Amino acid sequence: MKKVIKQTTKKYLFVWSVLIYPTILFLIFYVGVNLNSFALAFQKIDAVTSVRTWIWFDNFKLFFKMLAEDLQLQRSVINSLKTYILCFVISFPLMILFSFYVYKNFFLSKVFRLVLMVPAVVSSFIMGLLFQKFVQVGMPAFFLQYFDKEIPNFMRDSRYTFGTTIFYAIWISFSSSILLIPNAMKEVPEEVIESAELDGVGFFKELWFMTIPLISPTLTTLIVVGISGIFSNVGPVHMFYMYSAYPEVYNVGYYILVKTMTESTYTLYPQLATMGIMFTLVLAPVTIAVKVILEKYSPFEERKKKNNSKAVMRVRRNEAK
Amino acid sequence: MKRNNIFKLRFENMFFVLIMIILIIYSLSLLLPIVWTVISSFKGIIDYEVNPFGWPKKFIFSNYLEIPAMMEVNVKATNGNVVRYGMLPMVLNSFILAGLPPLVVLFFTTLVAYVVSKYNFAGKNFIFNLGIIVMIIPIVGNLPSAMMVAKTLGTYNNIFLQIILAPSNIFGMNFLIMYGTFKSIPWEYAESAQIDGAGDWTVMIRIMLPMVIPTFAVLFTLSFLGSWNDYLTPMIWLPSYPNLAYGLYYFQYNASQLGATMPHILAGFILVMIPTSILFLLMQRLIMSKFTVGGLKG
Repeated sequence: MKKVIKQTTKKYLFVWSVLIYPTILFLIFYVGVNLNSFALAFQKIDAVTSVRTWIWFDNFKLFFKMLAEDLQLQRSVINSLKTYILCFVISFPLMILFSFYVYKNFFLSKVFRLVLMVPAVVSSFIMGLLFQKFVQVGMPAFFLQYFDKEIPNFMRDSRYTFGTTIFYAIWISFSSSILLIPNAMKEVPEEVIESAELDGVGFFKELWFMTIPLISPTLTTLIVVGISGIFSNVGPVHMFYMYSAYPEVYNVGYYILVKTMTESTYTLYPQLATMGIMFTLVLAPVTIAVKVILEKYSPFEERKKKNNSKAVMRVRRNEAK
Repeated sequence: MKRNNIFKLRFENMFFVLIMIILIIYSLSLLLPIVWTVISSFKGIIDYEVNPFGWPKKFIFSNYLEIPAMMEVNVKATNGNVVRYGMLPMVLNSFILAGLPPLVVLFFTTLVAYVVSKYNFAGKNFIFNLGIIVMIIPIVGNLPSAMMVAKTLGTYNNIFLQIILAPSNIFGMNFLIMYGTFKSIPWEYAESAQIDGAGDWTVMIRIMLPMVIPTFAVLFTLSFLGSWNDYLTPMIWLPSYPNLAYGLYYFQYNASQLGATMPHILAGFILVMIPTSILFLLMQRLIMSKFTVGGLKG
């Protein structure tokens, strides 16, 4: 008995000696920061003395007023949603198709995998700057030199700026998935694929009925993480325009970043914290709901259940024998 | 029936040919700006102005040699004085910021993933679920609060504290990957070591951690690549310690004031991407094979 207690104590000492440092930091810099943010939402800060006083729901009233009147904030919200939806609708199916192409080792797949990794290697930052210079300088020069035609400045003409940021976000989005998804596809048991091939199952059916269901946990992770970033992602806006972006390209992440970084005092912080809480309150349930729904109705779960029931049947059959 | 199958096969082939064509166009679109940048970086300014999209009349290497003298950033030092930062200290900051914080974070991520995946203790499930919640619950707009806390505690603009306090949030994709990696390692290795008298620390350091070195190396490489090119973190949290990405970002905005031309800027892009490209090429095989993420369940 004594020995068991000693062993358990030793185990707990070991576990907590590992966990203690990250836990303390987490409590200060994650929990503490977010509690402070929550408190800020109910306070105001004096511009001169920096003293914080409680004003309860005044910031929330102001937030709703801003949401109704501030065109910039309205546009930021719409742009954040538009960016996510457009990127998801266009990128996600292509991501899966590109990954399947690479996974099946079709023609030139190794070359494609390497090239698609370029934004991760060169980094999205450098790719962003290259893109910016290419669109601003290279492309107009190309059209002028070879077609004698002037094209609009897609980075500066307000009719095209938002479209250009969306295009960039989609253009750059495949590099991480081309690592993740084909590797997840490799986990699909070979026997399953081989038996399907023997039955004459084509690539479409293989992708739709076997590969996608079996990699659905990975896809769920990507979707859920993507949704959780809708209102916090700055996207390429800061990289392209620093703190002086065109109103047309603002999103919520950029809106909060600009207000935080360009204010010399803390006075605006409570309003921004309130804004953060409100957007979190909207987005958190959506993210959790999407996670729960995707996991509940995941074909992977159904397959697992089927396999489990098959295994149970097998055991019972053996027992009966 | 047979004809039907042939039709299907052709249709499928056509579909994947279409995907191949899209991939070719997309690949070219990725390579074209890079090729244009490389070619233009070797041009003189007149050659570039006259012939911006053609082959250089004469390859000028001096653009690359002139960059270190041109790439300068004026920053406010921690004592309040304005200091001119050259390229060399920025390179040093890049190595420090891309190397140390990711290393410290990943080290603690690995340790936490190990105990959560291999030990049964009260709170184990809570920690795993907390990791998932932290990863998926969007906390919008806590930047002002984080800024206030950092300034109050003195971690703002303090490179040493930023490094040692880096593991403040070890949760995320890396945690999931490490957790999955440890889950896939049989506990029998540890048991046989324990029979030989090894304690928990010995098992972890001498048996378990060496087994995840390849995954650790991949995650560190990816974190290094990300941090090397991260200009926003030093700009927000360490304004007195500009790294190369920060320098390049300012340089391309203020190029004309610094006497730089477009070919100089493009040469600067190439110089910054060289170290990460080499590192990636060296680690490519390992990265391609080890980077997998499962679901969000324990």
